[in-house]
Amino acid sequence: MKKNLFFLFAFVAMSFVACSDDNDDSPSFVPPASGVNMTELCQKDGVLYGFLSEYDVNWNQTIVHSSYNTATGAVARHWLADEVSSPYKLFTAGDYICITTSDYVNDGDVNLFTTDGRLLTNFTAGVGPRRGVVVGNNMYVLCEGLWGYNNAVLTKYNLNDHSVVRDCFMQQNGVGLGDTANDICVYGSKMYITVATDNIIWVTDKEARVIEKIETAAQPRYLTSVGGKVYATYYNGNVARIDTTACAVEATVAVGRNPEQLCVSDNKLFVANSGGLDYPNYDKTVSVIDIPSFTEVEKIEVATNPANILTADNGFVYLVSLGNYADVPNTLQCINPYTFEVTNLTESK
Amino acid sequence: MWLCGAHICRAQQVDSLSSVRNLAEIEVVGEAANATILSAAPLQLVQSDDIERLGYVTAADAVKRMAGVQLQDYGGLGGLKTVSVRGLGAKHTAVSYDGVAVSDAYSGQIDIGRYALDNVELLSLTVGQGNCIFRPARSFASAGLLEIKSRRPLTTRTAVKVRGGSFGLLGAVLSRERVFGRHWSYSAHLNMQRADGDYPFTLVNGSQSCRQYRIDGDVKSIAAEGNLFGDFGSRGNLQMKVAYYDSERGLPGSVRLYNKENSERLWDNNFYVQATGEVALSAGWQVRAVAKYNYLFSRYKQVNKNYSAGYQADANTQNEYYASVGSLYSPGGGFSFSLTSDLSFATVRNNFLAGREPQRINSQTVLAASYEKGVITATASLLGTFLSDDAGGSLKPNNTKRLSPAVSLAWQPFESVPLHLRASYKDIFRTPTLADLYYQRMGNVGLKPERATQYNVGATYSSSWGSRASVAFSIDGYYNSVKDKIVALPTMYIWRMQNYGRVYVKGVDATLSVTCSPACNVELIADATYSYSHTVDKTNRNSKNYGHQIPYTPRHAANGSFTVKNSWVNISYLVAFVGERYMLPQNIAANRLPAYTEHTVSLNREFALRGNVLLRLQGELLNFTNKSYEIIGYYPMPGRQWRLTACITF
Repeated sequence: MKKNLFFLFAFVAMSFVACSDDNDDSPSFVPPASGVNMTELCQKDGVLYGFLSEYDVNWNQTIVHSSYNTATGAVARHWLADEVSSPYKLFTAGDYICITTSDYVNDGDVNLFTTDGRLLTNFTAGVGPRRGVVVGNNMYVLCEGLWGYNNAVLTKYNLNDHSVVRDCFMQQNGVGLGDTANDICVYGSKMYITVATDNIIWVTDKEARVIEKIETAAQPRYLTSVGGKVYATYYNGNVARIDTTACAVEATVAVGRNPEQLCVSDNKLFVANSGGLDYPNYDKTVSVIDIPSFTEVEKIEVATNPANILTADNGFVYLVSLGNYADVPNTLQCINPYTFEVTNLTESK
Repeated sequence: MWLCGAHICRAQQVDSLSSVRNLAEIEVVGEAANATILSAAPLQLVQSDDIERLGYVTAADAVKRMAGVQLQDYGGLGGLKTVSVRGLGAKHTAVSYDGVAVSDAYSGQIDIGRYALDNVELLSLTVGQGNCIFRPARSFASAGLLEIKSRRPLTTRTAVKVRGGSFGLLGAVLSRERVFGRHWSYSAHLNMQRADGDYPFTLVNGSQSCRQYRIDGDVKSIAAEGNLFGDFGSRGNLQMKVAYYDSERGLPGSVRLYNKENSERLWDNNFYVQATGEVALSAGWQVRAVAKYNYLFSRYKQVNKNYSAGYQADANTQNEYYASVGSLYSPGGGFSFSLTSDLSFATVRNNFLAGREPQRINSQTVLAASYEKGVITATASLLGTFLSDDAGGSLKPNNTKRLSPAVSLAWQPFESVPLHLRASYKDIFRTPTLADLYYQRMGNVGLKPERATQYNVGATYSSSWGSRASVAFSIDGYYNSVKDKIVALPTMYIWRMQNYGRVYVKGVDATLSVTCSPACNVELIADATYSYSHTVDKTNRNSKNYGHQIPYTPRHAANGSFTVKNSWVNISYLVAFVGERYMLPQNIAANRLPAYTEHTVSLNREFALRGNVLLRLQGELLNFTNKSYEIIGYYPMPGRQWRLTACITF
C-alpha cells in the first residue's frame, strides 16, 4: 500500500520530460515535484542514479532506485533496492552500479548491478560499506566501521574469481585503517583514503600498500582529483589541496560549515557546505573555488543542508540537500557551472 | 532500618520487631547471611566486614564480583560504571540508597562507581522478587535491585580516613557519628577524592603495539551526607538524609589508533533530601511513609573545531518529587499483606530537547502478600503502574498503564537437612527514559516499554559446625526474555530510538562460601561464584547476528576470593575471570574481546592505640599481574595499581 502510494510520488517527481533543447549544452527541466527525496547521488554514462524515498514524520521509508538521463531527460525507475534490504550507499564503480547494505553494527554487503538493473553478484565487505573503486580486476570497497570501534576496513573483491579479502589494508600493512573511514579515490598510480576521526589521509599504491600517512589538521571527509592534485574537504570548514607527487597537503582554503562532497566543473571546485553539526541552523551554500588561484570565488545559495554533489557528463553540477530531517525534506538541484544559476529538480514542501 | 530490607521483613514475621533490633552486631551478620539462604529469589550480600576484608572502595568493586552481574566499566576512577543483571541491560537494575530508589528520569543511567563504601554497612543484590513485601513500590519495579544501606551509628565516634594510590588518587573521608538520648543518633560524612587517571595502557594495532597513557581521565568529587535516625523500638523509627554531590571529570573517550585528540568534560551536581518513617500502629499493623526531593544537574562540553562555535555544550537539569506510603498487615498464621503506593513528579530541562521541557508523573501501586511458616515461604505481588508524560505541544507520548505480577516460593523439603529449594517468576518492564522519547531528532514519542520476563529455579544449602566451620552454597538456573528492546537504530542518516529486538537468556549462577577457624585467632574465608549465560539476539532471522551472543555478555564468568584472618595481618586474594565477549552484535573475530583474569591482593591490620583510638591500615595491589584488558571495547582498563588507606577512629 505504502509502496503504491510512493510510486505515484516517484512518477511525478522524476517526470523530467525531455524538452527540445535550444541550447545543446544545457539540460532543461520541467517544474519541480514536491515531497520526494533523492539521496546517494551517483552517475554513470550521463545517467544519474539515486535512492528515492518518501519521507514521512514517522520515518518510515520506501526506497527505490531511480535514474535520470542528464542528456535526454529520460527517466527510468528500477526497483533494484527492493532486492536489497537495508540499502545504505549507492555508487558506481567500473561497469557496475553498486548498492551496499548496512544496519551500522553488522557487516554489510555490496550488491553489484548492471546499468540495466540486473543483479550480478554480491559479497560481504565490512561494517558500513561506503564507496568502492575498481582497480584492474579488483574492486576495493571502503567500509566506514562504527564510530569509536576502530573497525574501518578496506575489502578487496576479485571480480574474476569472486574471492574476498576482508581488511586487505591490514593484510598489506599490518595496521588498521582507523576509525570512521569516509572516502576513497584512485588518481594516477595511487589510492587516497580519508579516515575522519583519526585525521588521516592514507596514500597507498594500487595494492593498498601505504606510501604515505598524511596527518591532517582536521577531519578529512570527501575527495576529488584534477590536474595533478587531490582535494579533500575538512569537516572544520576547509578544503585541502594535496600534491600527488609530494603526498602532502600544500594549501587549504576556507569554505562554509561542515563541508561534505565536492566536485570539479569548468576548472572550479564545487563544495557542498552542510553545516550538519549546527542543527537546526544548517548551512545552505555551495562554495565555488577557482582551481588555479585556489580561492573561493562564490558562495551559491542552495537548499538546506547540501551533502551529495557531482558533475554529470554534461558538465552540470547536481546536488542533493538533505533538509532538516523533519519538516524540510531533501531537494535535488542542478547548478549551471558557468552562470551559477540553480534549478530545483525536486522541491521542499 | 539498619538491616537489609529482606532480612528485617523476614525477622518481623518470625520474631518481634524489637527483638531483632536488640541483636548484637555479630548476630546480625549471621542473620543477614542466613537471608541469602532463605530468600525465595536470588539474593547476594556484601557486608561491611567483607568490604573491609576485600578492600572494596566503591559499590562497583563489590557488585562486579557477584554472580550473574555484568559491570559495564569505561575504565579508571571517573569512568562510568553501570550494572546489568543476567543479560537484561543496565536500565533493568534499580539502585536504592537507604531504602529509596535512586532515579534519573532523563537518562535512566545510574553510575554505581559514585557510591563510596566507606560508610556502608550492607550491599545487596536481589534478582526478581525477594521475600520482603514491605517496601516502596519502586523497589518492585525492576528486574534487579541493588540496595545500599549506610551504617547506622551504634556509638559516638569520629573517623578520619585518608587514601592515596596510583595515577594521582588522593582521598579523604571525615565521618562523625553520635548517639544522643535514648532514641536518637546522627551521622555526618564528607568524602573528597581526586585522581589524575593518566594510567598507561597498551594499544594493539594489528601487528604493532605501543604503550600509551590515558589522557583526560582526571576526576575530582566531593560528597557530603547527613543522617538523622530515630529509633523508638517497637513503636517505629525515622530516618532523614540530606546529601550533596559535586564532581568534575574528563571523559577520555574511546582510544583511537592514530588520533589522541579528545576534549570532553562532564560536571555533575546532585542534591537530595529524603525521609523515611515507620510506625507500628498495633502488633499486626505497620505503616511507612517516604518522601524525597532530588535535584540533578549535569553539564557536558566537547571542544571541537568542527562546531562553528568551537564546542558543543549540553546542560541538563532535573527536579523530582517523590512520595510513598504503605502499610503492612500481619494477621498471624504466617500471613502478611502489604499495600504501597508511590507517586513521583519529574521535570527535565535540557538544551537538546528541541525547546521542550518534558514532565513525567509516575504512579505505582503494589499489592503484595507473603506466607511464611515452617518450611515454606511464598510471596506474590502485583504492581500497577500508571505513567504519564507531558512535553507540551503536539507531542503526545503513550501513557503507560501496566500490571506486573511476581511470585516466589521457597521450600525446605526435609526439616533435618538445611537444603532450600526456590522458584520465582517476575514480569516487569522498563519505561522509555525522557531522553529516549524527546532527545532532538533521535527521540521517539511512540516508544513502548521494554518488557522483561524472568523465571528462576534454584537450591541453597548451608551448614555449620559450631563456630569452627560453615559452608553455604547456592545454584540457580534461569530463563529471561526481553521484548520490545529500546535501541537506537539508523533511519536514513539519523539514528532514532525504536522498540526493536528480542533477547533470550538462559543461564546458571552458582555461589559458594566456606569459612573455617583451624586455630585460635585464625579464620579462613573462601568465596566463589560462577555464571554461565547464553544471551542471544532473536530479533530478525535475516540479520547477521541472529542467534548470536549479545555484546559485552560473556558465556562464562567466575570470581573467587580467599582471606586469611589472623592477629598479625589479614590477607585477601581476589581473582576475577571474564570469558570471551563481543563488542558488537555479530560474533565474528573482528569483534571479539579476549577473556581476561584479574588478580588483586588486599592486606589490612587494625592497631589499638591509646584509649579507644583505633588505627586501621589497609593496602591493595590491584591487577598485580598487570593484565591489559578492556571491558568496553577501546576503553582500556588500568594495569597494576596500588592503594593505601589509613583510618583513625576515636
